Formats: sequence, C-alpha cells, structure tokens
Amino acid sequence: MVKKIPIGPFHPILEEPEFFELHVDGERVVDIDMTIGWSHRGIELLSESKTWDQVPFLVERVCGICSASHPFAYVKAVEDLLQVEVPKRAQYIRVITAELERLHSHLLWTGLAGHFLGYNTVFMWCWKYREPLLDILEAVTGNRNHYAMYRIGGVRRDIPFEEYGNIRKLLDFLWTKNDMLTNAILDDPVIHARTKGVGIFDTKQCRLYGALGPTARAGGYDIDARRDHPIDAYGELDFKVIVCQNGDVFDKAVVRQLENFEAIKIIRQCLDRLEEMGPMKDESELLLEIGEVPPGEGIGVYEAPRGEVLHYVRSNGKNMPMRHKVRAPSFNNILTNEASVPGNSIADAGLITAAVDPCYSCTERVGRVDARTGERYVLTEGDLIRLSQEKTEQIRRQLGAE
Amino acid sequence: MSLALKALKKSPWVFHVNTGACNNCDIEVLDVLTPRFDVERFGIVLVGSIRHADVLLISGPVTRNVLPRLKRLYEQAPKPIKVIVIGACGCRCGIFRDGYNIIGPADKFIPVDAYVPGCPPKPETIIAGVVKVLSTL
Amino acid sequence: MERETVKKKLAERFGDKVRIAERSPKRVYVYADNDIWVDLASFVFNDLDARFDTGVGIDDRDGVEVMFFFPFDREKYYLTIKTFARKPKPELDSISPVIPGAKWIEREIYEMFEVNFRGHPDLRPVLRSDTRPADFYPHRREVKTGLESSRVKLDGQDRADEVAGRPPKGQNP
Repeated sequence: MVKKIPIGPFHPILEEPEFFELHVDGERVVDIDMTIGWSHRGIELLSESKTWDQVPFLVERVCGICSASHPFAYVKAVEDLLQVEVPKRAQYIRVITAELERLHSHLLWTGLAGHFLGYNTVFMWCWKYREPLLDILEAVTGNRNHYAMYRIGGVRRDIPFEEYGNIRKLLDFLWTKNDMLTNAILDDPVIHARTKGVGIFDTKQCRLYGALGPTARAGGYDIDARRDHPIDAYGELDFKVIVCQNGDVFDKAVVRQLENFEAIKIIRQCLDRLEEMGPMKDESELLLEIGEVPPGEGIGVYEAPRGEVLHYVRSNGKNMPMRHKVRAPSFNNILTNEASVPGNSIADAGLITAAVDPCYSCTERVGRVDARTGERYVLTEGDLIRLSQEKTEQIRRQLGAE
Repeated sequence: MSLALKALKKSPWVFHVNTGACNNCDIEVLDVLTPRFDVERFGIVLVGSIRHADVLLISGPVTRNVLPRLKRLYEQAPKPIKVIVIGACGCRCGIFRDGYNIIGPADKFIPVDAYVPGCPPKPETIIAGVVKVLSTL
Repeated sequence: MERETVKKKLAERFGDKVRIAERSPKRVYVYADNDIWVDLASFVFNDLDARFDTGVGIDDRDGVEVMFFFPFDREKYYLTIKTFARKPKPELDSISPVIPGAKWIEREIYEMFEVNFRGHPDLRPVLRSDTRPADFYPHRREVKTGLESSRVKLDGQDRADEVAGRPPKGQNP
C-alpha cells in the first residue's frame, strides 16, 4: 500500500535531491535505494552558451548555501588553463569571502541537525548567530547570498577599509558563540547516546567511494583541498585540518564545529595581511586583465564546506567554454549512504543521510519496503523528523532515570 | 467576514515546496522563522503537510521530474489556498530559462496569486509578499 | 608517489599504449587505448595509491572522450587518464567493479553521451526524469536541445591540440 506523497524541501546542488527507498526487516534497515535528479537544471549544457565571464553568475546558482564555492572553483579552472596568478589583494579577498561562507554553512547545518534531533533551541540559536554574519556579507559584497565576487583574473570589488573593524568584531562574537555550541554538543549525554556509533563509515570505505569533506575527515581519511592543492592565498596561511577517528554522526558534527574555529583564524590572518598592504590604490590590484582564452583545458579545485568542488573546463579558443563540468561534493557523498545506512534503524536513517550534509533536508520522502511482507509504505519528512525526535526523547528519559 | 476567513487572516499556515531551486530562497524562507524576523509570534507556522496549509510557497523553476508531484500537491491542497511564487526562478525561470529539463515557471500549471522577485528575495520582501496576499482576502 | 616515478612506472607497465603529457607541474594527462582502460585505472588507484575523484565526458565528431581524475594529495598534483570511445556505438569497460565510487559518474556519462560501460552493475540514467524521451542524450551534438543557436561552435580544431599537451593528430586514436 503506497500512501500519497507530499513534496517536501528539496536538495539544492546540481544533481540532488533524492528519493530514498529503505528495505527494512522490522526496525533495521537492510538495504537502501537512492534516486536523485529532482533539481537537475542542465547547468553544464547552459554553460556552453554563456561567455567566459557570464558563467560565474550561472554557477553561483548551482547551490545557494555554498554559492561562493562554485564560482571560486570555476575561475581557478580557467586560471589553471591560462596559467596565471591573480594579484595578492584579490587573493585575500577571495579567501575571506570563501571562509565567511564556510562559517555560515556550518552554522546552518548545525541548526538543522539540532532541529532533526529535537533540539529546537539549537536550531534557533544557530540561525540567529548567522544573521550578523549575513549582514557583514551584505555590507561587503552586496547580497546576503549569491555574492558575485569572483571574476576570471580577480574579484569584482574591494572590501572597504572601514569594514575591517566590523569584521573583526563579528569574528570575536562568533568565536565565543561557537565555543558555547561546541561545548554544548560535546558535553550532552543525550547527543552522545543518539549519534555515537550511528552510521559508521570508515577510512577504507571512504577511499573506495571517493568520499569528500567532513564526511571523509570524520572517518579518518585525511584529505583537505585547502592544504593538498592550495590555491591563491591558502598556501601561505596557517590552519589545522580536523580529522576524527570513528566516522559516525557525532564525529561529523565535531569536525564541522571545530572547522569554524579554523575558518575564523584564517579570516583574521587575511585581514592582518590586508591591513599591512594598506588601502587600495588602483583597480589593477583587484583584477588581472585577461584577453582571450586559448585552446586548452583546466581543472579547478576548492574545498567547499561540504567537500571538494571540482570544475573542469575545455576551451577551443572561442569566447565560450566548449565543455564545463561541475562536480559538487555531494555527488560523491550521497553515494556513501549505500554503505553507511544499512544496519541502522529507521529513526537513524534520516539522521545519517542528513549528516552527510547534502545541503538541507535531503530526504523529502523516504520509501520503506518491509522485507518480510513486501509491503511498501512512504514516510514523509515530517514522519522522519518525528521518529527521530521521539527517539531522542526516549533516550533522554532513560538517561534521566539512571 | 466569515469565521473561517477571519481565522485565515489571523494565522496562516504555510507549506513550502521547492521545485528544483538552488535552495537559497528556501533558506530565506526558513530565516523568516528565526529570531530576527520571527513570524511565529504572529501565528505564521511552517507545516509539514499540504492538507493543513493556507498558503503555498513555491520556489524554483519547475523541472520535468517534479511536475507531476507539484500538480498532485495542488490538487490535495484544501481550497481556498493562496499560491505565492518566490524568487526569480519561480517568477520566470531566472537564469535557467533555456535548460532542457525545465518546463516552465509554476504559473503555467497552477494559478498563482503573488510573485516575489529577487535572487534571493530578502526575508523582509517575503513577509511583505505574504502580507499583501493576505490583505486581499 | 612522486610525479617522475609515476610517469616512469606507467611507461614501464604499459609501454606504448599510453602517452603521457605534462601540462604544468600540477597537471599530468595520460592518453590511453581502450583495451587497457580498466588495468590502467586499477593500477593508478591500487598500486600507485591515488585517490579517485570523478570523471568527465566530452562529445566530439568521431567519438566521446572519457576521462577520470586521480589526485595525488601528498604530492599535490592531479593525474588524469583519458581515452576515446569511438562512435557510432561508443563503449568502454566499466571501472566500478574496481572502484565503487565510480558507479554514479559512469551512469551520468552514459545518460549524457550514450557511452555503454560494459560490466557496470546497474547502468541506468541517474538524473533522468520519467517524462523525458528514452533516447535523449543531451550533451551529444547531434541531439536537439534548443540551445543550438547560442552554443559554442566546433570547428576542425575542436580537440585541444598540442597547446593543451595533447599528442598531435595521428598519434591519438
């Protein structure tokens, strides 16, 4: 019996959202079947009709949450083809925008994970602390999301000297708040009971499936494109790469929380260097003039909040790309659900698929097949959240009783 | 004004659907619930099922995969329901107009009451759009 | 593994079935024949200990160019292996029995370019909607997608030539 299916929030990046079908035996998941493609807009083909400078506006809209990652990787791909390096000031501005976006994205995920687990206060607080961050981004770039800062050869506008003070105040504020959130997560016994040992994905599986980002680092697979393939100013900055051992949902949350501290450190270093350089004197510090793009190919790689983003461009000398490949990290990471979900319960299945961070509520619908009777039910997102919150409540009662 | 309409104006329940958008409009819609804008104090709540909704928010250009579900959703919605499309993609498909998997903005398939342009529209704009629609009741 | 060692080992193992071009210190491209495709991928992934990243397909007049990226993270460069699947029926052996992470990208290349991956456990479109026609392969130049007038035109120099580090015509099959 298949119930009617209401549509829920979808998944943002090019190839996602998904429809999951779980094969269950009682309460345990035995197998999972995934269908994606709801948001397929054909961006790669659209790129072939846009000029080189128009493409960043298009790829920004691949995903709204990591909307600085895709243009960054694209301009690095074209600059790899051209073998040029952009001016120093532009490099620091690029890194600052990208790291501010990382902060906003991790806070967003923590809020949604909190909501999923039943901690609505965490959800409200995380999203409240995002607001000053979005204000700063609006003051610096002109928009809360979709910054349009990246151009081939540099950036489009400068960060005004007067804003540095505001940015520093914001970073101090976020440091204390992130500290509070991290301690709240690390110390809470209910969160431990709910997320430890759930959805384990170890190093060997990370390598076979090509997992990326916090999903891989939580399982002990030590990769980070900022350190391994440094672009722009990342080569001279000092930051740590956070790697955990167990690969469960708890570790994925810890990795993201600790990465926020590293992001704040990186932005502070960039601001120090920009202050040493003093106010901008002329436009050439922001942009390198590029004439035309010769035939060739280039690969651009950047570590987005969810993992490594890869863009590949091929040119045949004309004014539009001949082929532009966009590979978002969730394309690799969602496939890992195949290995990390079976063996867990239904209430945890939603949590595990969300811990991969496919940008906001991945499972709008989950199909459930009872392996013994073959009956099919469909659970909505509301059902999954309710199941998950009920399980947390149960654990809380147990721990409170002990 | 009938009791039902009065109740509707007082605290509309909102259901949100994303028909293939980049998710930016969706997080701005969620932002409207968070402490800075906090529309929950006015009784506006995001619900999990279309059957409880008074207002339907649609974001995104409609992709081929999503269309049957969008139509079914509209049929299940209790009438009268106000439909608001959010964002440049909802209004006229935005930058994805020529994609091979895009079959058109939402108003080709279901009647729409209000358009909130922007990429993404700020939360203040979304609130203004919802309020304008409700004041026509 | 260091770049020079990798190039030497590849040349030793596969001889003249591969041609290695170095575009920049961080980008190495290996052009291979179709018949050693799975051996090459397995060699790079298992013996040389690279990481598997993703793959790309490019449409061309005579066939479909398929490539996979294998970054060497500690040594900070990307190795790309490329091959050319000839039309009218482009086919290749699938590498997903060796690297499970390649399952979805091969399905996507099949869906966009109609490249048949022999031995793939589940070769069906990964992004397709139920309402699209069955033989619609959007990235193939022969297929009408409505974007023909604005898309970039191909001429005889389509395949990036020696400037991109590709071996000149006549050497590459």
